[in-house]
Amino acid sequence: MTPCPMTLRRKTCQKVRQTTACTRNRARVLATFATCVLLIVTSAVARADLFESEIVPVLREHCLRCHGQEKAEGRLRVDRLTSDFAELENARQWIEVRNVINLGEMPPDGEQRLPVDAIDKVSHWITTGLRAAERARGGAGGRVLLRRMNRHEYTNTIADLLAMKFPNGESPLDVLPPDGTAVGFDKVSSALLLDPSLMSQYYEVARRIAHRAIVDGPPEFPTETMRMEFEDIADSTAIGYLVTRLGMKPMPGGLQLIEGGTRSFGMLRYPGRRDNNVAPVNGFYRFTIRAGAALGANGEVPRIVLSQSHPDDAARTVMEFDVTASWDKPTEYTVTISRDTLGGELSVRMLNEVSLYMGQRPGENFMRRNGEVGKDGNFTETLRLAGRKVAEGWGGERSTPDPEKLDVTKYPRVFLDYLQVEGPLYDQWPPKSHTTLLFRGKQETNDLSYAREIFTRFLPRAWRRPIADPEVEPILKVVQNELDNGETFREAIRVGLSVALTSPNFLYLVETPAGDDANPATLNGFEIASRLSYFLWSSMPDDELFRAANAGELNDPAKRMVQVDRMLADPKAARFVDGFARQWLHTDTFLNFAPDKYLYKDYDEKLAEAVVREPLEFFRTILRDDLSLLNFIDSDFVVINSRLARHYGIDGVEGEEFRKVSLPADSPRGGLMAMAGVHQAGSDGSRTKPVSRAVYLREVLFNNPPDPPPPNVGEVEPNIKGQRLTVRDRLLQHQQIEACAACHRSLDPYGLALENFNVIGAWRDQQDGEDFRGNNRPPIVTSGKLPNGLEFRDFDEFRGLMAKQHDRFRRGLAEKLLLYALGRPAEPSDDDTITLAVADMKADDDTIRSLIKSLVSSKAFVSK
Amino acid sequence: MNIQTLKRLDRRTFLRGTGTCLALPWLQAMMPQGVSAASTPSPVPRMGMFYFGTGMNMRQFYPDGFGIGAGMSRILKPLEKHRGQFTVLSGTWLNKGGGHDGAYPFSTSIARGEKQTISPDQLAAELHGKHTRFPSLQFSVKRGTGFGSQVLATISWNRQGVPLAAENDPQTIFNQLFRSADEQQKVRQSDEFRQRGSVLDAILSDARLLQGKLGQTDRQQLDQYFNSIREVELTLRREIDWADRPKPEPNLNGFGDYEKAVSPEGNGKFVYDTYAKLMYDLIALAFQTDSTRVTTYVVRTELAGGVYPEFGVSKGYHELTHHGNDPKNLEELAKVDSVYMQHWSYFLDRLASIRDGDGTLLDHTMLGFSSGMGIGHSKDVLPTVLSGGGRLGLRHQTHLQLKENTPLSSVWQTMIEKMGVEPADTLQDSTGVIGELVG
Repeated sequence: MTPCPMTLRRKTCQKVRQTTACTRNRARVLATFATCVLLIVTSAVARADLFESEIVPVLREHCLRCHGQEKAEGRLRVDRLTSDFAELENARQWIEVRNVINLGEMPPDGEQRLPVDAIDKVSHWITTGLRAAERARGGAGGRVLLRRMNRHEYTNTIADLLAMKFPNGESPLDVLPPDGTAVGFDKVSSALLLDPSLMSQYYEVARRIAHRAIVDGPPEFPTETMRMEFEDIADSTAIGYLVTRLGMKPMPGGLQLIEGGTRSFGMLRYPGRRDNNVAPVNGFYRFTIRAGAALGANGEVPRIVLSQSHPDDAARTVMEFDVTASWDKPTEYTVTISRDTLGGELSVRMLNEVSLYMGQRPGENFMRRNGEVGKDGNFTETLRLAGRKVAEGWGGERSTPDPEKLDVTKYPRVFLDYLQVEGPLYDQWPPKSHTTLLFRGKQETNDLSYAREIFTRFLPRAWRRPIADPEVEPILKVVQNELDNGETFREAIRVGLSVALTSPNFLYLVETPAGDDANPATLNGFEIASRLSYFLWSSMPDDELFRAANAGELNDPAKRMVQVDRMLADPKAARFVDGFARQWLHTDTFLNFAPDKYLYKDYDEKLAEAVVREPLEFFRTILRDDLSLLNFIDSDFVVINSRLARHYGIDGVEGEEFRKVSLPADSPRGGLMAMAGVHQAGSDGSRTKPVSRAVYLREVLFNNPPDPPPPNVGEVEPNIKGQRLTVRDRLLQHQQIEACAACHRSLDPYGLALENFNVIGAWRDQQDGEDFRGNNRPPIVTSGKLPNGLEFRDFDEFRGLMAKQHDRFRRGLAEKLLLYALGRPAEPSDDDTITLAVADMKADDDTIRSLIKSLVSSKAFVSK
Repeated sequence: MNIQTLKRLDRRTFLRGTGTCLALPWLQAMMPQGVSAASTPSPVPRMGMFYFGTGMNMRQFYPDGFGIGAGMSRILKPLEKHRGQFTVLSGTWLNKGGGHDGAYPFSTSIARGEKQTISPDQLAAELHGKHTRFPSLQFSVKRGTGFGSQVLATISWNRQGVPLAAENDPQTIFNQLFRSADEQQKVRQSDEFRQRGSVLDAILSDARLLQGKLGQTDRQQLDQYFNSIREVELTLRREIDWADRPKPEPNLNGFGDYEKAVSPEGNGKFVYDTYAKLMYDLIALAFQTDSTRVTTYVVRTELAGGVYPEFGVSKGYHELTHHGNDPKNLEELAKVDSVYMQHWSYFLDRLASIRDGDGTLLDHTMLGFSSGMGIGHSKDVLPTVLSGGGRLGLRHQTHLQLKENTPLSSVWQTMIEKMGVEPADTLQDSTGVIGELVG
């Protein structure tokens, strides 16, 4: 062994300290270094020598038995690994080896552990090798490949480029087919393919956008205001019967509602239309109800829903709100939403109505009270109650309460003044796209030189970079051809616009730096601007980014940081939540298995909606308030609405909006692992699926999914008839099968630890679901042992152990975000970037912002 | 295109306009059945490939015994009346299949994550496509390609290895095939053709300019763009060629109502039973009218979640495949599988009821279905059945035992050679045409 010079040793050590391998125990690292085993790795030859002399013996002694020719567990064969880190698959496997030995997951529990110095030796040798290979490769691995926009990006870009809003069904998002994905993200070049049918659709969509962007004359349907005064309902002979009902009473200037609801009865329709619809065209409409309320005796606030009849159930609700305004001071409740031409009657209904029927509440209360006092033999009271019942209108010979006697002031009541609809709404007419493109306005001319000016202005924004003169020519040729064929100037411009939007310059995020494989080139300012904007906004750069690009600022990491702060503060950053968080957390898959409606009667539509939104709102809160991402592992707060609060047994949360709520000390909630959506996703409707939950946790929290089950693998062994084994018991049986053991022992604990959460994510101490009911409900057991040998007794301890794996979490997340930012999976050559991102997060309270900034300031972010 | 109509179109209406307007010379044959059958020229071969995701309950699938007289299994009982018109193939496998990634290698033998290649249906389409309005049609219960996920929505791949998007809306497909342009559209048609053509020319120049600025790997990526422009141009030329001929007007007596068809992602009115029949009938109609000779249909995707209340089955399909050997689940799985076979039988009925040349449409149509897995994620024990094509030379025998691990590609090879595709050296990992079926 060659003794190593001091200088080199110190230098290498500093570098190494950034890696996960060495951060845990500096003293140990230094001690190891003193042996100078690995520090002189300066060439591939030396590395290969070291491989034979130092690494192979360790692998042979500790790994080969399971990862050799005989068994090849986890599809890894260490005898096949070489010292050639330039070979991609080889390098990937080495990274995996490093990660599992650092985590102490390998050799598995029960086997002889690796000595600490052996861990460091191997781990360091791998890290050094990776780095050397990257240098040799000049970063050729991890090149960003030309990619097209996905349909979300396409839609956002059109919206920003042409100031367009799309009503439901008319957005490019509704027309373009779903995009291909890789590693769960629709951001990856290799999965965003282009086939002829998509090409046709791009063309058709561009034509439609062009027709929307440039108009001829006034709108076919101008904005109209339609209003219905509720007191007019009483005069309508067709509906006189309604107001004879007890729950509805015409008053001066309006209508009192206690029960049920009322419709528009054809009194609301777009002028000149025969159909019974306020919407003559698919577009946006503003709905307003002026209302006030009297609270019920118990302070209950009346809640109102406005809906429109529609063939599509999901399109019915217009708005739902608590009437918080007082009876004397009614106020306007307003919403602007998209409506199509298929709708019909509007109806207003009270959600928390009091049923004014005999035998219903509150009439029923008399009955019950009467029974109670009767049982006690208190006949005086019985008589008194019976008398009161009649006096208050709930008794006697009647079949309905007596309106003369009824004291309605005890019930929540709403005063409805009017219902108004305005629409179709236009931000302006002609639309902004029209006035921007045809910038001369009334001075419009119909010649090619005007067309040239139009596209010379438009293309740099549409194609997100400066345009050379010849690039306008193909479009102008098209415009000229249209004019020659007798089309109007505007139609000719529309066809030209279709070219601009179907061009590869628009559809692809083009990066053309003059580099080669050996010397990755740095992107120019405009290309960086697009990387930033598609990363954080899923859309094109805005004026400020264009300005910064033009001024050459974006090649300066510090200036990029300023842009990141600005961009995260912009409302468009919500698209980052929808783009990244939705896919990172797999929320689209949460409802794949519907809970059995007989086993889980508490489950309803509102809960389904809320469990999907919870992790996203959690992410949004963490982003907005610069909280630590580690809250995803464990948190002392949740972000919930009233429905989830009820599900989680947390008091004092009213209303549908999500907000941050501190957790009571005894609540098991907190962190992703305690979110009901995750539990539902990892269930099949009637039983939990711990393996599936485990895969989810390892995938999402650590970007470390287990290998898929080998083909030909069977199902979990049967529950033999009459035998009532819990899911846990059956899984443990499965682990006894030799072929399944290797994977499942390291996987199942992650899922079994969550068994306290049932199919719908409610806490349980006893088995439920399947056939478990009555006395046949064994207690839930959640104890287990992690692959690194640490044991836990229950969910709380398990979560505590997960929380100790912070670096693993940081690393996994950094890899995912790098993929999202660059449109390609993390490669071995990204090792330094990722390691630095982990350090940067750690140093800055683990905020999303710190992670984003670390990646944005990396060399990879500005390299092609 | 006319702005006034454009403004109000939803996706569905909008798509109507896209594939517009062609017909076939002899499609007077679309008269009520039999009326003009005699004038039909000599029949042409057709083929369809069908994917049933997530396997089937293979314990109750295979017929009892072998040969023409083999007894129908629980699941295949609905096919009894078509005995002699189909063969269940035991012993097929998908080397790269098994598990939920099986849709990828299904038609190409290439595993998920690897560069794909042209699928057999597209080889047939290259040969026959020039004679029909649509070179091929991709049907699916899910729209698009689903590429990248396990829920792949198509089994058709072009020469670049790019998945070809499928359509799942019966109304959209029906309109593409049979809805004629209205008067207003006809007036605008030549303008529309001109505009589309000149846009294609312009973006081709753009792409060429761009290509020069790109590095090697990016250029390969841009090849997809060039190829797509070429294909769209061909489609345009085809549309222009057929523009003056009326679209076929098939007799829809006894067919479902395509105007009211609900797509799977449509509102709550979706009923699978109705949907399946509409889709199968569309394939029959497309073949009957010679609108295309090649189709693929992803009848059920991997991990499909659909439920079947109309059949009295309590759980979704994927839930059921996690049967845990529970007899109730297995029974319901077999029940659902048999419902799918009832639809298949309905489809064969339909094809057999249509005169074609001196036989029926079924006699001149080869239909092959299977899955990406058998049961419990297996790559063998596949539910493989080849139907129809009697007059194309297929000799059916109800249940045939093939050599163990006969690649699915051998089935595809058998079909495309009957389509007239010149035998290549090898098709994928095929061990050759299945001699027992053609000998």
